[in-house]
Amino acid sequence: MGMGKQPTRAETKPEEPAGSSDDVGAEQEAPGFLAEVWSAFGSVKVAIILLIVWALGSVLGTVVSQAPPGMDRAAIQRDLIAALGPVLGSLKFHLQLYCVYHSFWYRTVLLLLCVSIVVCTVERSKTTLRRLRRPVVRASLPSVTRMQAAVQGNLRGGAPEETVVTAMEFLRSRRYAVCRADHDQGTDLYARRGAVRLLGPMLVHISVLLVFLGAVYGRSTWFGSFTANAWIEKGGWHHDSRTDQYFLLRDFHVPFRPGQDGESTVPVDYASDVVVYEPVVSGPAEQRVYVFPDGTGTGPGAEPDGAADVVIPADDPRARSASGGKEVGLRKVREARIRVNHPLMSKGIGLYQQDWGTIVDLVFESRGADGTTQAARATWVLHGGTQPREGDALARLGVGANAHSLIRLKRDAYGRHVAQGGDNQVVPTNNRLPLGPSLYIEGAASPQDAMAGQWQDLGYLSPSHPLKFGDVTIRMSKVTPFTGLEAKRDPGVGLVMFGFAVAIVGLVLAFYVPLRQARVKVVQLKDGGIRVAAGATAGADEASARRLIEGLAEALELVPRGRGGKR
Amino acid sequence: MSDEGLRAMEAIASKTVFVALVLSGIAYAIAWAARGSKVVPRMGAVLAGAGLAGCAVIFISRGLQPEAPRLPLTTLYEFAVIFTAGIVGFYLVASIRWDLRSIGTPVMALACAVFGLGSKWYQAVEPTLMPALNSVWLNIHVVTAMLAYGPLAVGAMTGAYALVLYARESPGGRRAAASRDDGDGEASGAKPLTGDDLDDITYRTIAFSFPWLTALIITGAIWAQYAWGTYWAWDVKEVWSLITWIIYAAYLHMRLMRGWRGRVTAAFGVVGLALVLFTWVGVQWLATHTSWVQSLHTY
Repeated sequence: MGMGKQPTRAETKPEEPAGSSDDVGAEQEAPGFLAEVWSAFGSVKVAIILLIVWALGSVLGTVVSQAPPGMDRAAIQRDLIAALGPVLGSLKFHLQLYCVYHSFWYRTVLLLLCVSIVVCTVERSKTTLRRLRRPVVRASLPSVTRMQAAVQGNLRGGAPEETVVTAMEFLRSRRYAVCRADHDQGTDLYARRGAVRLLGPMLVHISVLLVFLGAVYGRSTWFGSFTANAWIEKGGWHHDSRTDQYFLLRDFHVPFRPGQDGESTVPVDYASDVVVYEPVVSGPAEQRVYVFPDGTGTGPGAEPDGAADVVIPADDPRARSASGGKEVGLRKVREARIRVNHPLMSKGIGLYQQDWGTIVDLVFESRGADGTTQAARATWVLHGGTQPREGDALARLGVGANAHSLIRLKRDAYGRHVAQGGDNQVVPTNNRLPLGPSLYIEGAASPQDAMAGQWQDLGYLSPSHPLKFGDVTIRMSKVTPFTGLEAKRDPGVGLVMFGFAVAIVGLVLAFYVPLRQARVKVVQLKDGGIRVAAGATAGADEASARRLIEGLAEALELVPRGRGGKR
Repeated sequence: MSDEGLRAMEAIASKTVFVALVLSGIAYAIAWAARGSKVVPRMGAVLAGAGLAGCAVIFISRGLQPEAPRLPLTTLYEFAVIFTAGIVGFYLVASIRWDLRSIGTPVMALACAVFGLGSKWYQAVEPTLMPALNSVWLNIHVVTAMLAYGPLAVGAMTGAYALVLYARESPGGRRAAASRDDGDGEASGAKPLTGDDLDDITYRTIAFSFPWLTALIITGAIWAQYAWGTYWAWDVKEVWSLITWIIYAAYLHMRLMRGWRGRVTAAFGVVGLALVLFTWVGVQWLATHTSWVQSLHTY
């Protein structure tokens, strides 16, 4: 069936491939380089290739050992060459296979994928929006009869307009939006339900871009992203200089699961009770001073307009790193308990409960022949949740005849803290409650012995139970339990979460909202009769398309001439 | 019910699941071999339903145990029970729409394998969880996993069977199959399923589960944001779930935009399940048995 020349009431332009309508004038000219690049990135084949390259690159990152984040590049290169030889080691280093997901080539693949998504989205959006705004109403007879369910037949009486109106009313009663196009041979109807489905793929592609954009924005330090560890002892302070907030650790708890014989080794939760403070300041920004409870301030511009809830004294040792050794007046903002899965969000930064442990200060003392005592110090940071790594709890004595001797925490004994008995007796136990201050120590007389694995057990060390190694006395001078918080600011996380939400909406539209379409052609025959052809598609729900066509045929009292449609 | 009673119920249900799934697989095999029977495939479906009910009983009995006032969705064993329920449940629902008797045996075999693997990791109910697992996002994450993985497993089986039929439909295969002539659907007089039909069913199951697969990654990312302050840490498990997602995304592009059909897309369905299983079991195994793979997701 031919197309009418003068469409009325509705757009009847046949559907065109994306972009073709704009390219008519350019047909004679060879496409430019940019047009070719644009076209290449708009190709689904390129998109599929990029997806597969992305997948393969990602596999590589899981089968090739990756360097820990923040490790020095020179050290990595040295280690790789030592382990793999100069050729393979250099290759792995220069291809950045030690940090695949942050390598130049992996990021290039992601960038190319983003370009592909942008081009595809722009190209397909034109068609999608056109289909949404101006659906193609005119259709040929074969395209109607080839639909999932179809029927055609003749009507012996009545006016064509009456048939058209009946069909439109029937389709509208089934909640279809109906468009009509009249032409010199009759009338075409196009009806659809669930057109919003067309937006689904576009939204999904946009969501991927949003997630990528949010990730780049959020991980870039230019935009204020940061991650910092905050190990705070009970009663200690942490100051975030970017937001000028002070965090006081009022208390922290590591409840353990009760076990057999009163022993308990498995932590149930880590919880830190934190109070958030802000400095009480007065005056213009460049002349701000802290205001203290008595209303006094220091420096120019001081105004007694605020009262601090707490003052950090200048000489508070637990606040020195937070306050910089200055007296600071603070006003309480809020209190919160930070637990795993329950971070504290304040002024754009999040405090996450990551860790807990003990800081152990050690003193090594040796009395010389002249009666003077030499002393050296070492500090070990022992994390509660994990075994110490090689070298984390290692110290050189540095004094006396045993200056080159080494001591370390016996790895197998870590976690087997000791309860203190009378007369400095130590009783090994699995109980970590309270956080046991006693550690099992072993020593090597020299670095050579240490390298050869010749370590000797020295016994349990605790604040009240020093150890002797050669002429050196090893004392535990201080034990400080700490909570391990991580302060993070990721300005892109909101964008990423928005991208996730858009992805879900897009996927639901694309895969769960069926697009139901129906077409009806009403043609006036020369003998005065009316020929009607109707077809419907409903994606996976073919049965509903069949029901619709059967209902339409009944409403029109159509005498079937032979049913079409795929079965 | 007492604690012992609940444990006994769980043990009985566990045996019931295994026996029911094995018998269901046998029933489907008999139905496939002895064309014409209508009763035997129904028995297969009933037994599969009994297996599904057994999974529900395990879930309820573990959830009610006084040590664990929480949903039992934490350990590998508990996930295996949920995964098995997802496979069997989706198979039974899909069987209402499509005639899937011909893949009944491989689906039940797969469900048995998943359940058996989970039983290998059986753990009594833990009274407490490690702190990171104590989140409502864990429940949402695991439920989305069930809704994603169950259909993908059934889709892989239809894809595999499509490959078998394509091999038979090839000129050489047709000659070899001529003597057997065991077309599906003859029992009920329905039109036998062709390779293209099964490839289409594979596509539909993947299209159903892809949004859930995406939701699985998204819920995991949101949970990680709460727990660790980062929605993505390039952990091995995260990366392999991303790889699985990319492969299915590539599949959907091939199918919907390039119009690819047949052997390649059917094979993709099978490869996709291999990736799903590797993400679930393989990464766990590598992280616990090798030094070069480390994962925060080993429980």
